[in-house]
Amino acid sequence: MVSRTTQRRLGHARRVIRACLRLGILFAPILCGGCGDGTTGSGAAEGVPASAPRPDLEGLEPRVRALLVQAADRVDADPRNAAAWGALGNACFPHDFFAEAIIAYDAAHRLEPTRFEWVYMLGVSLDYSGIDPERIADTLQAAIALRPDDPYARIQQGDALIRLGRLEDALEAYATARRLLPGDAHTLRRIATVSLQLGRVEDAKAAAEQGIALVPSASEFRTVLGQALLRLGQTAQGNAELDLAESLPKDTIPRRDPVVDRVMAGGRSSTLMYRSGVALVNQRRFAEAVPLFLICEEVHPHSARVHTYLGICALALNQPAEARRRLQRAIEIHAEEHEALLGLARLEASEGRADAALALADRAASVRPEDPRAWAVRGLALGMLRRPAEAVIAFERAAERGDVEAPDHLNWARALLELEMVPDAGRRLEQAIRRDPGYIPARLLMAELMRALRRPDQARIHLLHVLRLDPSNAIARERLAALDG
Amino acid sequence: MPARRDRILGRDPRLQPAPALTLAVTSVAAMLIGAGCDRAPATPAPRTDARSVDARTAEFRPGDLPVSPSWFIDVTAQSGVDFAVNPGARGDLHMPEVMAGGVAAFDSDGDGLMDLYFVDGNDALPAGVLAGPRTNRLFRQQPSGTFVDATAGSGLGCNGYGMGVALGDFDNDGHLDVFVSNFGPDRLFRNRGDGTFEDVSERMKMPQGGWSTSAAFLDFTRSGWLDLYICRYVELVAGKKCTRTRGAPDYCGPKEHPPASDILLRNEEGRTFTDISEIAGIATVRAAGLGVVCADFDDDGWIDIYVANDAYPNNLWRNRGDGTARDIAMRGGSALNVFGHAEAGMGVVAEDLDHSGTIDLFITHLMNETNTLYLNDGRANFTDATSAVGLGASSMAWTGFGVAALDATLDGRLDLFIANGRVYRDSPVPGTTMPEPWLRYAEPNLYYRGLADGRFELLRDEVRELTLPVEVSRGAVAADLDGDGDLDLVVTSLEAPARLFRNDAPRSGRWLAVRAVDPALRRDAIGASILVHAGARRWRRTLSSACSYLSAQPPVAHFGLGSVEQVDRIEVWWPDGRREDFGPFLPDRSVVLERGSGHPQVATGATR
Repeated sequence: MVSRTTQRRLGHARRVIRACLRLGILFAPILCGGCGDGTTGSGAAEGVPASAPRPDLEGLEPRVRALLVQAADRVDADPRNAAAWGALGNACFPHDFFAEAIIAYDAAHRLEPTRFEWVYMLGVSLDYSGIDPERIADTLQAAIALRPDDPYARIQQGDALIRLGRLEDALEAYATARRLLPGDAHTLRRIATVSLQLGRVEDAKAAAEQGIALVPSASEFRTVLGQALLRLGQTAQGNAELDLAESLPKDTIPRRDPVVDRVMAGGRSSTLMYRSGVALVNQRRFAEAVPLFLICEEVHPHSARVHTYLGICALALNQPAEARRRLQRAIEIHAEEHEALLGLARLEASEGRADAALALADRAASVRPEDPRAWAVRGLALGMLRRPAEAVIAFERAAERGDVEAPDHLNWARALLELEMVPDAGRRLEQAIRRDPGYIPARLLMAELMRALRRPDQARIHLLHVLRLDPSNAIARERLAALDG
Repeated sequence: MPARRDRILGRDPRLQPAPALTLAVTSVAAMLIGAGCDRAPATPAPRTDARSVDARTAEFRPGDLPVSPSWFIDVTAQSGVDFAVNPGARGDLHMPEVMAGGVAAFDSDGDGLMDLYFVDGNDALPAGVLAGPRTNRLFRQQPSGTFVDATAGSGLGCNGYGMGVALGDFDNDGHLDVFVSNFGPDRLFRNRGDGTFEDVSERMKMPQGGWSTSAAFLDFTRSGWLDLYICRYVELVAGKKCTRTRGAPDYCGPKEHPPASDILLRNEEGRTFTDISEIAGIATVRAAGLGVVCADFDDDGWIDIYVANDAYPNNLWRNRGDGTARDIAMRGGSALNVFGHAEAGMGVVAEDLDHSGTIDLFITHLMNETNTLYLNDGRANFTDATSAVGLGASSMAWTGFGVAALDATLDGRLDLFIANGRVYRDSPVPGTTMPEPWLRYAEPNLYYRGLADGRFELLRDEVRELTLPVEVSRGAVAADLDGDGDLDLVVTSLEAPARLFRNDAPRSGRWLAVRAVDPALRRDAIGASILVHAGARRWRRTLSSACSYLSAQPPVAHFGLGSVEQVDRIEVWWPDGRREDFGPFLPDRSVVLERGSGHPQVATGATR
């Protein structure tokens, strides 16, 4: 007879052991290496599962589902084939099946330990799953051993080492990466911040100054420089840098994405192209995204989404004809392609066709009424049509549905000004500037508003800010001269 | 103060496991590890995989299972506290459901015993209204150490969709009043001093809508009256549906609704509050505020406000001393983590975690982010030292909410407790007994011991009772519930019992509990900095109730002192910037420092 207390203790023990096995969900085939079912026996590829993990396919579009099933079937047909495991990893990873990708890449690496791609992608998958920095660092170290001149693996390894509190090692990894990739702002930023953390203030200062030379508008380098100067006792200069940093746009240095790095460094895995392209668009690196989507188009010529992204890139790159062609094609393929409707609406608005923009914005809003951008474009079109009251309502709806961008606040302010609602317009312009302190049109309009309200000091502040951002801005110069005159 | 070990919350030696039991557990553990394998592996399992398991859970190897009893004992069942947060979830995935769960520990009726107040949801979502039965509950401690539900007749029942609670004597009558933040109209309850409370929300002009979360009383304006800072989360867009991985419906994240700006209310001499958010500059920022703490971070004598924002850069509102504040988090390094990323700030504590004499910050975060420790250089310049002190990797698997800094063993070093629970669905963690849907959100809690070298060590077996309930935990507060001189823990969870954990950790030192009272104001000196000196050692705390996530602690500074024989002096920096010294004191007692009864000192600027 076991006492209640003992039962409780045993319950605890079982819970702990179950918790121990929690990661077993992730690494089950590895943990059970040598067990009777589901795994191979001994040899060089110890721990390789006998069958492929099967991701949960519920809710996936048929094309992706078929791709995953096909890749898993290929593994099941030949579980000793490293390429099949690697292909399964490549199929799982872009669709967020990180646990399955880890198993697949791990198997591929065990079967073919000299191939960089498998161990590196294992590291990347672990990095995306983000829960075991020590294993990430070790795996990336194995990848680096195979390809010592690869800067991206070193940058990722540095990040994992920071998570482990190994700042000296991280700094070394970044320093090597910097030698291999001299113009990389991201690496320089890491060197600056980690140096500061380690109390190497002069090193941090030097790295921040190099960063400013590389990306003058990056608030991140100014912040580190300011903090370094403060620690060096140069209070006035430090505070000046920090003040300047506060006025500059944030998040200007693109974050590292290992998949993008890999593809940009010459990786040709077609399954990663789309994901890389999307990541680049999110980082506003449109020119770099285009060739990736073009490769996707070769494989999937009738994908509305690929055409949409190409259209968005063309819009951003100021190629209106190409943007129009791409976005129209996307809508032809899929009438409810929301992003294409939005993109084309913006294009029509930018070319002065407000009626067409309004119609497209209405379609976009009916497809996805919760998207604030659809309402903001509607507001823009209505403003162009000199229907400011309706425009203001559209912008209000946009704001009710989520964050609106600085240009939307600006257009909202313009509509309000037409309605002579000056204080409200001022608040909108404040919001535009708060959203994007470097948004010159909002600063210029704010300066104009302040001048009209007979607050020249305020107007001057905004104009001087514009000139700091763009020293050659003629409008700002002219208006400043007028103010001073 | 003598320990009251005979009470329910007191120590119970019968709960200590016998060696035979240890052996049994070890054997079963070994047995379970082997289960499922019909032959031994040809080679040892890969090193990395074994380490992966070790990284997050206890190691169980035959023969080396520790014999020590758990530092914290779950005494919920014996305590009489019977409360579970009702998030009012009916499958519609309204965002407040997954965020609720505040708790406060304080002496509500002046009998010298610590009572507990739990904040609850209601069934009116998506409307943020006062509706249905009054569900917040007050549990009053009896001399026997058990608790009884004293909500009825107390006036503290509240039928809003409750989020958090803040404590502060807003009318300077010597009794702690209670602010309840709601999704919907907030409530302020005035403590009449006889164990009953009066709802003065309308008269005191509490916010009448929106989504309030953590809140803090502080004398921001140095008027002698406590102002109120209220974090505001997001402006919920009605009917918005969100999806997570591969299109599955789930709770929305903070970026899927417009962020709200926080509110600062100025106390008009106890008569009413005035919203000074615009004037003070607070309203210039819109971020999803969840946690708030108040302390003089830059040692200029003025109390500052730190806000942990969910997915937005954090704010450190430096009090300029003229009724306005400036956000210096970005320039001072406490807005973003070491990678320059804004994290999902939830709970926060402000304590001297590296024992350098300055107030540091520890913030809990979402899964795949670390919880983050920002160390202060004394001028409100912070360094993200999370990983350097061992708090990084081990926290990345979990979503932290409630947090408490306490010295469980009284060794003079602060430990950290973190209450975990997800906000998005995921595979169930083994060991959870939660029903659907919460089993997909449940996680175990964490406890880190502070080490002599400034690092922290994740404890497992020593705190097994504390960390093994796999639930969706939210609020957490540390308080000396049983009056034995060490801090116990209270944790709330969604649709699971609020748990009381009695601190039975082996003591390796002495303690001191300090209240600081200003007789002129007839209340605790909220915001005062308390520095305890013993020989060459020094400890610092800020007197404040605001802590953790949605929670409030009693305004008592608790110090574990290690092996000191005597406290040489206690240095108090009153909220108006003046300094006074008290002492000496013998340890192992509670002391009340009354302003004017010590030795006034000439303040010489930022000398702390």
